[in-house]
Amino acid sequence: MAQEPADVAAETDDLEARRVEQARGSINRLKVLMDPVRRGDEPQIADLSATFADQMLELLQTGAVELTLDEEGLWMGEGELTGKDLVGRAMLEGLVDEGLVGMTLLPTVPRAELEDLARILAKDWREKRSDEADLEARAWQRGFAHVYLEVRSRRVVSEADEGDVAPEEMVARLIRQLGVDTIDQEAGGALDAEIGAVMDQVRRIGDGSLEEPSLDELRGTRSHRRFQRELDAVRADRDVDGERVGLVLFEAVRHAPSGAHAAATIDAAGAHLRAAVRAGDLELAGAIVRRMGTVVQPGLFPGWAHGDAAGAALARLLGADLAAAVSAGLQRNPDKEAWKGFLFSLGQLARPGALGGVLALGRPLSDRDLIQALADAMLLVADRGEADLRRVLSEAADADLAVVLLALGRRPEPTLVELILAREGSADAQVREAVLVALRPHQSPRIKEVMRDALADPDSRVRMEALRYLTVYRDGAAADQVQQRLVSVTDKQADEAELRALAIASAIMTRGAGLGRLEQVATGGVAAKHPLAPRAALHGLKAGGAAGRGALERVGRGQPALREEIRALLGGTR
Amino acid sequence: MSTLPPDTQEHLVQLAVRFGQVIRQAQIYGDEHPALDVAVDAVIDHASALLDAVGPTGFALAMPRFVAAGAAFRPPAATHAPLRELQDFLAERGLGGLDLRGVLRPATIMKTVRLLHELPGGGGPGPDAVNDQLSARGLTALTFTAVRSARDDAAAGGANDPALVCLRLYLRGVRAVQRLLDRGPSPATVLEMTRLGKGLVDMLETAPQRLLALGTPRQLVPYELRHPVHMAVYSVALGHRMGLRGEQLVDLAVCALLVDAGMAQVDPAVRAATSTLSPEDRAAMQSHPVGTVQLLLGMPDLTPRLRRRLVVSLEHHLGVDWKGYPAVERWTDLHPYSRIVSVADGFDALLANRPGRQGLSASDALDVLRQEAGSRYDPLMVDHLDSMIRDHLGLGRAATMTAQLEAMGHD
Repeated sequence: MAQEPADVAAETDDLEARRVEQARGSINRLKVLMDPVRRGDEPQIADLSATFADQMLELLQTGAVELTLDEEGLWMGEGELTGKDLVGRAMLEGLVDEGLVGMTLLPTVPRAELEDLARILAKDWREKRSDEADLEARAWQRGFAHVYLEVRSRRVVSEADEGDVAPEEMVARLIRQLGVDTIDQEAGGALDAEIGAVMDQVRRIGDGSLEEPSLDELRGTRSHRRFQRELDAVRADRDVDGERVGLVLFEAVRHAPSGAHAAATIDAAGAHLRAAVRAGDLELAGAIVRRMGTVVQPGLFPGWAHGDAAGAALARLLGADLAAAVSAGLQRNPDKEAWKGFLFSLGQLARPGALGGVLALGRPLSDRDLIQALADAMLLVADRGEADLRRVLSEAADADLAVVLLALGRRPEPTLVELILAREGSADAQVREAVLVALRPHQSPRIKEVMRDALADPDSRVRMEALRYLTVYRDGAAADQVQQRLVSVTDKQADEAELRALAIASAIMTRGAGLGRLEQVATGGVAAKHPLAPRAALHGLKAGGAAGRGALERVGRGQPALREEIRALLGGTR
Repeated sequence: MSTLPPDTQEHLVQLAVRFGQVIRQAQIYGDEHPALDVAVDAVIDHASALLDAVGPTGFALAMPRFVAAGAAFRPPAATHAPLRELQDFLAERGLGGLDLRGVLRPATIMKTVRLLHELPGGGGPGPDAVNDQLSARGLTALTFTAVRSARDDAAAGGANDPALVCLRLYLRGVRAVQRLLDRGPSPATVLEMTRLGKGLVDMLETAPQRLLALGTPRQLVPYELRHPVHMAVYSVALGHRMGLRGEQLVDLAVCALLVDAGMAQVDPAVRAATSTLSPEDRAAMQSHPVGTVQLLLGMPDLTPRLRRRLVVSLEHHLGVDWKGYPAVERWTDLHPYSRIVSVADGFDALLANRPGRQGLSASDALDVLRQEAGSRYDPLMVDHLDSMIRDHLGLGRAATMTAQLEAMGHD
């Protein structure tokens, strides 16, 4: 049942309150850490920093942490974290005096960064020596990649306030305070003059606006209309679709200056491919796969030096990680057609020796059509002469057999029959079904016998596939078995679709000879165990041509309860 | 601006702290309580010392800075709390500091404090009204000044001095570009660039001329560090002219700051070359758009913003005729951000000394852009940049180039 908005709001509030409590716990660690940091007690600093990192990592599991600071406190949303105690106030005052106004900790932050951050935040900045680096400089020099400290300028220029400072000295101080003293200023006599000139220029400039040319001036011109359309797309985040991303990746790989760069680009693209698949974004995922596959299409870029490296990297995209992503993505996107298209396109990525990766993708699949799409992808690889399906079949693990068999089913080569039949006794129903599907292009007494046996398979998908085969090839030898089954199965043993398939098969296999028995089933003349059998028999009669229609009309006359359905069936035949 | 001797700083701070103490104690105990005597005496002592040392003087509070005699300094941390309290108390009454004009007496102090307590809060009545009332009561040794304005701060070289604000923003940009080239893009670096972009957009909205002035330094830092910052400056200004606002402009600035990240993969010796590049070195330099794409792909989440950054990075040297680099098959039109960044890039590059050629003046650079409008650059963007630069320099579009325009370029 869908949650009421009020419940959702209450849950959100609860989560936020829990997060604030967790954050408060982390900040309390920092307060405890202040004393060891002041004393330089390294073992205790390491210990408490690690505890801070642990607590923060737990908090980060529920999302990024954004904190703001002002003189009143350290805030996460509306929750104050430092408290009113003296240590907390001291920490806060020091940080605020350093100009720290905000912090963003991203969920991807590694532990080491958090431990470093703890040391910086737990320093009593009020006691900073005059020769010590500012907080901003120190944080910047740490090179945090997933922690962002926002520092305002209130502290930065304070040294300049001490007296008459020349512009170039001001710049030097700014550079030091920003933590970028590694910047080598270009030598040259013009430097001092330039700094002075720029600063003078900026000071001289008032707040008046630049003359803004009216866009009306341009309205009506083609270029402007185009630009407006483009801007609308940007505003709606519709400006770069998956196809364009794919093209960019394609060009980036193709123009990579080395094989290593090409491979690195593909590896990086692979992470985004998996993310897109996990999210069920098959428009993006499909575009990436198609474009990446094009890069290594044989003959498309003859003489391209990095083809091997790129091909090996592309093969790495397939496999268990992508299979896990497919498994997650199937929960998010139920569009079967989109999945079929995507799975088929994966065949463009597989290179020699990468078929194992393709096979792995079949493991999360249970839908036959999707497995078939993947099997067709594998055929693409085989068609390029890059895989021997016979060998693949002989080496495939049980879990991967269905995909290989379905691929083989696309090949009408008689020499494959024995190979396929060898898997017929599999304990896995999906494999047994795939065996029968793979046998579709082939005919032989042995195959028909297998199909007849399969009519009694415990799995309905296998039975249905056998029925389909025997019906298509009008196997009269199976007719008795089929007719018997129509009346003998119970509602626990077959669903309505199977009953109908049995009835239709009965009509077709017997070439009309079985219509009388079907008519009896429909009228109750032959007792059937399944309550839906009489209705299913009507479908068999419909498949019986003119004789079947006549039988339907007779049944209609004698069975008022079935008239409406018979009328619909007869209407459909006209 | 002069530097205040430590003794003077100490007396000024203590005068303020003690004065604040008198105000607070008078509120608690009433203005005739003996507890006030110590604090009042201290105020008189420090005021006398100041008058002896520097004569009539005054101070204003702009915590954490203390501004006095045209200079500013940071008072000791221990005094921050009482000074902030005094600052808040005065600000409530529209006052920012006080001037010591003559010798103080206990009665002067107490009458002044009493008057302050009688004044309404909420921002009024301001120094003129207060000083008038003091004068009407015969109190002239102590007067009050207004809350400090940004202009005052600028005069004192304070935190709001636009030159310092601009310069700080500029150097933060340089710093971020350096980090980008050293370590590649990281979420934190991109966040910093986003904040920078916001700073540039804020500046554009309040003082666009100042923003453009940030595109002028030529000696301060090496080309590869300043060029992306200049690109961001010109891109933001151009984007604004084209109708982009707010978040889109910030996004555009970040694109401009990132597009050359791939230069990190080019041999530093090639990047720093001043003579004409060999074909191999040129090819290496021209690989930077794909290098940027590769580096940006390392960022998490292919959000619309990251997609845009990838596209702009790859496209910014393609040219509107698609004959630039890398040599790609033409797809749809170039992204509008690519067309903006491309012109910004071209303009700044033309002003700089680059391998094998000297930097051009702004007027010559604009001429080159005009010649290449329609082939390499989007003519609409070139038009806008041209008029914008001329506006910035106070020139009419048809005006003859002046020394001012000439002076803008040239390394």
